[in-house]
Amino acid sequence: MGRGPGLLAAPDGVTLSGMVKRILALIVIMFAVPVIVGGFGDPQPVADFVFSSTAEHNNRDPQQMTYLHDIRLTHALFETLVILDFNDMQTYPGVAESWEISEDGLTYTFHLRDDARWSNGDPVTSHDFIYAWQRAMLPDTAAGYGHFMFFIKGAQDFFRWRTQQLEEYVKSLGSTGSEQAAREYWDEALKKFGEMVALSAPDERTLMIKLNRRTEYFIDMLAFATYMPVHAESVQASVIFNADTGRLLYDPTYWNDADRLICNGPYILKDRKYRRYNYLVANDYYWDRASMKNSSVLELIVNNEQSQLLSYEAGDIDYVPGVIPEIAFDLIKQDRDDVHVVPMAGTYFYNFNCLPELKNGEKNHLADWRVRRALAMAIDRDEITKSITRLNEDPAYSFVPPKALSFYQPPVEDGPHFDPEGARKLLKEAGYEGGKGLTGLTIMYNTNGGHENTAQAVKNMWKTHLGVDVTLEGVETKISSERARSQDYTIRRTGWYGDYADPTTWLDIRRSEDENNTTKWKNLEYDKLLDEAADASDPKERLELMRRAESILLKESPMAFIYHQVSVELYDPDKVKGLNLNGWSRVRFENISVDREAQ
Amino acid sequence: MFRLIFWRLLQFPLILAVIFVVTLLLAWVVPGDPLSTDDGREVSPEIKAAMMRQYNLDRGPVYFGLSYLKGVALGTDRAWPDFGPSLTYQDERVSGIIGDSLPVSVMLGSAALAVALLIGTVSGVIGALRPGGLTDLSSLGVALIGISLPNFVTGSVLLFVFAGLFKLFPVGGWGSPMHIILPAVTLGIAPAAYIARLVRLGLADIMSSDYIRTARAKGLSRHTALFEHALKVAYLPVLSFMGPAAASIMTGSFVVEKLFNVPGMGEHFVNSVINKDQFLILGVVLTYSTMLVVFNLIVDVAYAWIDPRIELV
Repeated sequence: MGRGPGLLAAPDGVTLSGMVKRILALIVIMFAVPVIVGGFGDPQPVADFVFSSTAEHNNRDPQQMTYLHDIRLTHALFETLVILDFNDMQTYPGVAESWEISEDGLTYTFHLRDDARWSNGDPVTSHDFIYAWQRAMLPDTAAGYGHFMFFIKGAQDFFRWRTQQLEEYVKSLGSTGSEQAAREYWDEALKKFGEMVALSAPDERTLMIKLNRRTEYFIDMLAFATYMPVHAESVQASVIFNADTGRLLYDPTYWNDADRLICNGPYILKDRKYRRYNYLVANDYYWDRASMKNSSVLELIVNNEQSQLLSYEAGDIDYVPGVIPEIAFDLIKQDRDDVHVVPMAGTYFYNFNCLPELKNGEKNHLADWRVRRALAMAIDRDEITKSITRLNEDPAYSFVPPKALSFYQPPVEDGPHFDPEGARKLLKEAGYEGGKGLTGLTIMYNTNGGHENTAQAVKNMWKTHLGVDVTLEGVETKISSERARSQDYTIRRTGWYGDYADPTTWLDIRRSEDENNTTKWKNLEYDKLLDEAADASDPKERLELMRRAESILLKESPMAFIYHQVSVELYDPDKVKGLNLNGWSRVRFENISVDREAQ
Repeated sequence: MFRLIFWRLLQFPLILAVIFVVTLLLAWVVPGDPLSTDDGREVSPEIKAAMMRQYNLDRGPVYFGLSYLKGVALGTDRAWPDFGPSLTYQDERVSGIIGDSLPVSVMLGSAALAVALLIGTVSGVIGALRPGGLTDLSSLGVALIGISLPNFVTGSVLLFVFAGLFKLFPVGGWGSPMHIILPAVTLGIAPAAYIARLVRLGLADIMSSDYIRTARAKGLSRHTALFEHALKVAYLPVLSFMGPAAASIMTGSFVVEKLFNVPGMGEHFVNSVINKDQFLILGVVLTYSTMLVVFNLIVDVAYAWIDPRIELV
């Protein structure tokens, strides 16, 4: 083999053998298959502003969505009655150009602007809003945030009525159900909706809403995704009646089909490729089109954190709305001015099971508030944020993050501050001197997201300061929430982000009967104060009542707050203008401009 | 050969039925609530009950399984066949998700197999030409490294060197031929090493067998003996390896797809189970098993094509 391994060069004058030919053919086929199957797909579009997301969207139906990344994108496509600016916490006119609220705070009248248009040119009418909200109230839709509609008078009763009606359908018709029968039931439900729910449209441009009770923050709620309008005509065209159950179902693919989806926001969905990108271009019918600072937005879906960072560094992504802690820590260390640590409207904490008895029938030591507070007092939060999480988080001494709402200051002074001496005293009072007898405690955490390190640190602190031994248990997220629901735990890591700009978005979830109160902490005084706050007509008094309620929560510590979450986001302020980061992950794309020449 | 295809096709539904039942039961007993969100927000019990009913999750696995099969066999008012909705990606149908991601994985997988065959065959033959020689040893070394290195290491190194340092390839993503090269090489290296060893061992064995020695004694050149006669036989084990390998590579690799941000099937195998997305679990498992059975059949046919003397029973 003087010429080296001339494998394909027909060595020694031998022609290429049949066998080699066949193997070559096999390889060529393998190469050819891909091109035949699907080509290489389309190249991604070019846009004025490019941001990234690490996951494909879970739901694009405004009435059904619950995930932050879904809500963020959808605000670009649909415009609500009013717009809540999360930077100055002010409400601005959206589709509604003006509104009145009655003296008793129960009746809202909105006047829709003349030039509000759908992307097909149709005017946005009050009926589009009522139609959309009706969808959110239907048990058929099973909207995750459907209970946000229950502020409206009659909404919850209608939900229950329709639920019952559907049960009756199955019982009385069974297998003899038909699309026709389902339609008849629906017609009856429509009539009921008109009678029961206090929503009315005196004309195309006026919308009237009556509430169950005074709700100070209802105007802010109207800026939430569940309250977005939809184009009634085209959505109605995607309705299917299910003969077996009598339910009215919407074709979910309407929401991701660029050809069918009709929007009223600053942008329309021009194109999307599953798990690759969403491409939005300016909606020419948008009433405020002239003030928009860009004409297209591209959301790149990059499910790998490393390549997201590399693409950002290469200039392919203008804005990264959050990186994982492992990467964030490195970036913060580099002291770059394109790395932004944004305090979020969220709190990271440990739930304590407050029931007198544990799932296995044993006595629950955590039912005594002194034990819970002592545990909370023995956590050195500064140490955790400085040497474990290391992202400049604020240590938490309250449930409502102090930076989240400019008008509400939580009673931080009542929170369990780090005080090992006081904690030991309190534990002794409760009958567990030196941690004796305080056994069977386990910190349960979900295994994705680096919660183990914090749990380990807390475990050590409790051992050192209180002499209490706890074990650690990492489980999957779904299992953790399932066990929380059945109180099958003693201590559980969790967190809470606010949904709307009011303290109740946090405080309400510790009401005795709230479905999110998995601690089963029950304090009637707390419930009463929140009820009084809800009814208070004076905004100042309302906030004061809520402060008093939060003080009770902090004293009794059904949970140990650790820190207020941050999000580490990337964009170059010299290049990207008009992107105001806030703690609610809400981005107003229409205000953003990118100067690609700037460096 | 047609009898073989006929019998295999007859077994086909039976195999799928068994896989369906086992998968359904396993998916049902996986702990966790498919409809809960990651941030632990609880929906009100009424709405929860409505959601469960909407997806037929409230009436046990038997009812669920039958209504699923009904949808697949007879279709629904939406589509035929209807593999149901995804519980995680609620505005997608499972058939849509698979329809979007399977071609990507098949494309990447085919390219990876081509890489594997090319590298594997060439280095296997080189090794066999001079058994024990320098080329043989170095090809053995490369093969060993290829087999031992996990693909997230190979992939990361390739990514760092060729995309990060030299900027020859895009960092990740999908949409052009350039996007396919690095992940295909990453995915193809391990099977390439395996093929190289199979070819090299097979050739060495056959080259020292009696009939090759006789042929060489009669004046046949070493190359003719190798390429015309030995390679044919030595290649058969490679083919039987290719069947299952093709099915598993073409249905996607979680690690490689994640590393190179490829929107393929791999992710669904892992995430559908974590999310307890019963419809998607059933969809991807049935897709995978179908491909496995089909590829095994193709391999048997290819056997006959490469070496017509082989009689299949």
